[in-house]
Amino acid sequence: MSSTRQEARDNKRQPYLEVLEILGEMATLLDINITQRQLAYCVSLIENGVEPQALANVINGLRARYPEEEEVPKEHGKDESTK
Amino acid sequence: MAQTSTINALLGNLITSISGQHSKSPAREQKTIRDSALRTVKAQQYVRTNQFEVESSIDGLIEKFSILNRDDLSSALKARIEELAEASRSKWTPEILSLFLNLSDRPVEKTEVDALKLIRPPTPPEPPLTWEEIEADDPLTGDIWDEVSYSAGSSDEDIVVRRKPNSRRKGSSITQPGKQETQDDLVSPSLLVSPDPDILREIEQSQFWKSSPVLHTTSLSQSDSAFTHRVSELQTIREVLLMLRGLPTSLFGIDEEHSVIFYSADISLENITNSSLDDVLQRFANIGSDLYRLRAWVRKSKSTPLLQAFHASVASRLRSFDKELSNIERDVVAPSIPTTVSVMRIHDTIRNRSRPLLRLGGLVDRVPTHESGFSCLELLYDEICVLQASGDQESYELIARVFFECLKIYLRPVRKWIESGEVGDQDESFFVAVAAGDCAPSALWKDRFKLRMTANGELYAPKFLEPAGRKILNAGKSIVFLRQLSLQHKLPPTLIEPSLDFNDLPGNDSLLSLAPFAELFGSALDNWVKSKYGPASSILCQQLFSHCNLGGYLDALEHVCCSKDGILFQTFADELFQRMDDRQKVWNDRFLLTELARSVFGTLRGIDESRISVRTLQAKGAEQSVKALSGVAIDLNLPWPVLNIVQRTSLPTYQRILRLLLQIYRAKYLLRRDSIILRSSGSTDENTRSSNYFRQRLVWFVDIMFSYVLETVVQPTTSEMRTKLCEADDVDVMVEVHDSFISKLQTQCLFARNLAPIHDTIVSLLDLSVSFTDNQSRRLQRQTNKSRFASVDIRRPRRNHTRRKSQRQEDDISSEDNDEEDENGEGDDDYDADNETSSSRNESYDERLARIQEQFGQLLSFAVAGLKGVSRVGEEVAWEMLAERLEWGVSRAD
Repeated sequence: MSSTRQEARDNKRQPYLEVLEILGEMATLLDINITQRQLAYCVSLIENGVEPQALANVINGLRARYPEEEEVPKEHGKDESTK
Repeated sequence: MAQTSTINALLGNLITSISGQHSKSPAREQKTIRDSALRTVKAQQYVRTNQFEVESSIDGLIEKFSILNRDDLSSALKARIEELAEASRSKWTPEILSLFLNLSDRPVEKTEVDALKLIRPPTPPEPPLTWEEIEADDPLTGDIWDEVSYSAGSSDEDIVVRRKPNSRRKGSSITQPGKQETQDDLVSPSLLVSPDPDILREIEQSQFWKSSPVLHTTSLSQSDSAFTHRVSELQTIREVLLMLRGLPTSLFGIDEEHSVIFYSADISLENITNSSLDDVLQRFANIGSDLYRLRAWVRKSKSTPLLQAFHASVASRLRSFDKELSNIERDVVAPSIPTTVSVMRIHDTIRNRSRPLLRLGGLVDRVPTHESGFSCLELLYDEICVLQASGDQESYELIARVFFECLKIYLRPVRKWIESGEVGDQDESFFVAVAAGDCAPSALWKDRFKLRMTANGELYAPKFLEPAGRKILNAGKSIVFLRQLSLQHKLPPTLIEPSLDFNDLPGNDSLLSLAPFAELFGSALDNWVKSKYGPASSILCQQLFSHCNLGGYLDALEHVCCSKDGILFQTFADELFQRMDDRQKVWNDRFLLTELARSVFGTLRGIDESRISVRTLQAKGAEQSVKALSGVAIDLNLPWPVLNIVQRTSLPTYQRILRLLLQIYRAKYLLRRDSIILRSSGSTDENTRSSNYFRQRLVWFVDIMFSYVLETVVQPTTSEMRTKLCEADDVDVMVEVHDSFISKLQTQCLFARNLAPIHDTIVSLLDLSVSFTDNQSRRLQRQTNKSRFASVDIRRPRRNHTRRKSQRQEDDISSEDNDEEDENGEGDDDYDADNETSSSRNESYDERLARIQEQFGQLLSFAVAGLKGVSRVGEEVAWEMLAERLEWGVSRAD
């Protein structure tokens, strides 16, 4: 039963992970310099109604405040998932 | 509320993720930041994201990447957009893309597409499909996979040949060649040719250079022992012949840098000592080196036609020598008669055969590489003379033939010039050039063409052509002249020209074989030039007289300027003097004088009167003086062909002769008139006798000058000039004859600048005639005043001018009688302003006469002394004659 549920959960999560992966590649192409986790948080915030412009301002403000943090290497693969 | 808490939580996590290490900052600060972010998120009111706008922004971004030459980025982004569209149909996709667009930071400069591989490594390509997999999946069973036989027989008789399943599959191992079917082995053994091992062994043995040298000692000298290759004489000869052809050999090496061939010292011949062999090989090497340099020179291309001809001749001689080498080789390899193969004999043969070619090679070294002239011709010419003198007949003949072949090319522009009068503007090698292409036709002969000269003043032509250079130039100029006259049809048809070839040299027969080549060639060249030059020049000279009426114009000049017909000349002169004496203001009007000249001289046969015109200049001096006649000049408009002979520079001399003759005629005229007046007056007093005496002296002087100018100078000189002109065979000669004629006239008539004092003295003597006649007329006038009516009859209409003159004098005298009659009882002299000496104003007749006589004596003595002096220096016989004749007058006066 639990394996079926696990499979169902995995099946449900698989397209979401694929979308995240694609978004991650797009972020790399556009030189957005965002990790998978941060990307997942952003997507969640947007899905909760946060305006993308406001969110972009917040992120830019945080990056301006914490510039060294931008050198954090990007996370590879699909090992990150949203909570 | 739940949404807000969710947002708070997510925002907190995002802040924590972005802040990273700074998460260890105080919680208060973190809370402040979180609250600030939250306020930012909630406080700002934005318009909902327009998905179409986002889509167009993305498309624009993709296009921008393409335009900025980031096609990789553009295609990658486009692919991801498409993947996203397929993978997610979320309604939040435009917002996410809008977030990306807001966060994007100069992707064109910073993004590397290869970084995507770090995110998602590329999947390896699928392995290719193999037959094993296909067979494992679907085995090939059944009759359908059997081999079909295509033989002509019936199907019942068909023997089905079952092939092995593995024989046609991919990936199977390759079968061995020996195991192929027998039907593949179709090459018949009869078609295969097996090499003969004996021939191969023989060829390998002949390649002696591949074998290791062995120690050879000869019985003749132990010191000759050395590690050498033993070769045969035949091999040596073959190597020598190949070397002489310029081919690389094993026995001889080539130093291309210095163009030297050296022999290999590590060979030996049987029964020949090494030193002898070395000597022979060295000689061969020397010959080969010279030939090698010659061949290297032949390989280079040449630029000028003459050098190209020389190059072709040398190459031809080299080919002949190669043929001779081939003949030698044939005689050695396949002799028709038994022959001993000997290196020494071959050496002697080659030395004799190559000697002329080596002499040629020595010449080639001296020819400048980049020259546009003719130095190779001169070198060949000198070499021929040396070879002929030294008796080397073979070399002489070879180099002479080369010389004539090159000469043929060099003479091409010469032939073209002589035959058609054309010269190329750009041809720098030809010694005739256009000097002034646009000169006037009257200067065609003298100025249009010129001979090119070197800086040393020598003709720019080979030295053997220098004697004929002027003739060649004149031949072409004659053609051009005839063409200008449209008389080129008068030229005779092209005759067979004497050939300039070695075989046609007159010295080839035994009689003239001792004659030097310079003489033989000079005569041949002279004949060649004459064949071209003679007809054109003689025809031109004839046409100048017949077509251009040169004789007629010379006659006209003699009549007009040199008084050839005294009656005509005197007619003109008398009319002119009458106008002068009438004191007409327009006596020197050129139109009237032109009409006068045309009416007088136009009656001559052969003279077009429209060509006669008179120029007048305002001359200095008294109007009644002979010097006033220097302002009168009769011009004869000569046509341009005649002007090429009678050049414009000579026309002033004709004018000066005319002037001098007019002055003499004037003096004669005045004295004659005075004589008539005196005779008619019948006076016999002392003054009359003395004046008669002086008049006689003047007449004598004038007659001597008249006779001298016409009979001593002009007539014989003109006659000589006409004779020489008719005999001239060249326009150059004609011009020279006429120039010398003019020069002689100038000299003998005392026109030269250094003789100007004597000339002026003679003119002054002539002018004394004017003074004398003037004095006489004044005296007569005074006598007339005393017996006026008696003297009227004497003044005939012909002397109206004298009457008018005396009338005016009388008026003047009467008007000034009050002033001067008291002083000396003489009337004012009307001629004071015109006379030389203004002091005669108050002179009496006797005083004036005495003064004139004194002047005459002085001037005559001066003239005689001057003439004697210059005749001693200049050795001019005419001056001496004139001086002696004039001296009579001086001695009589004494």
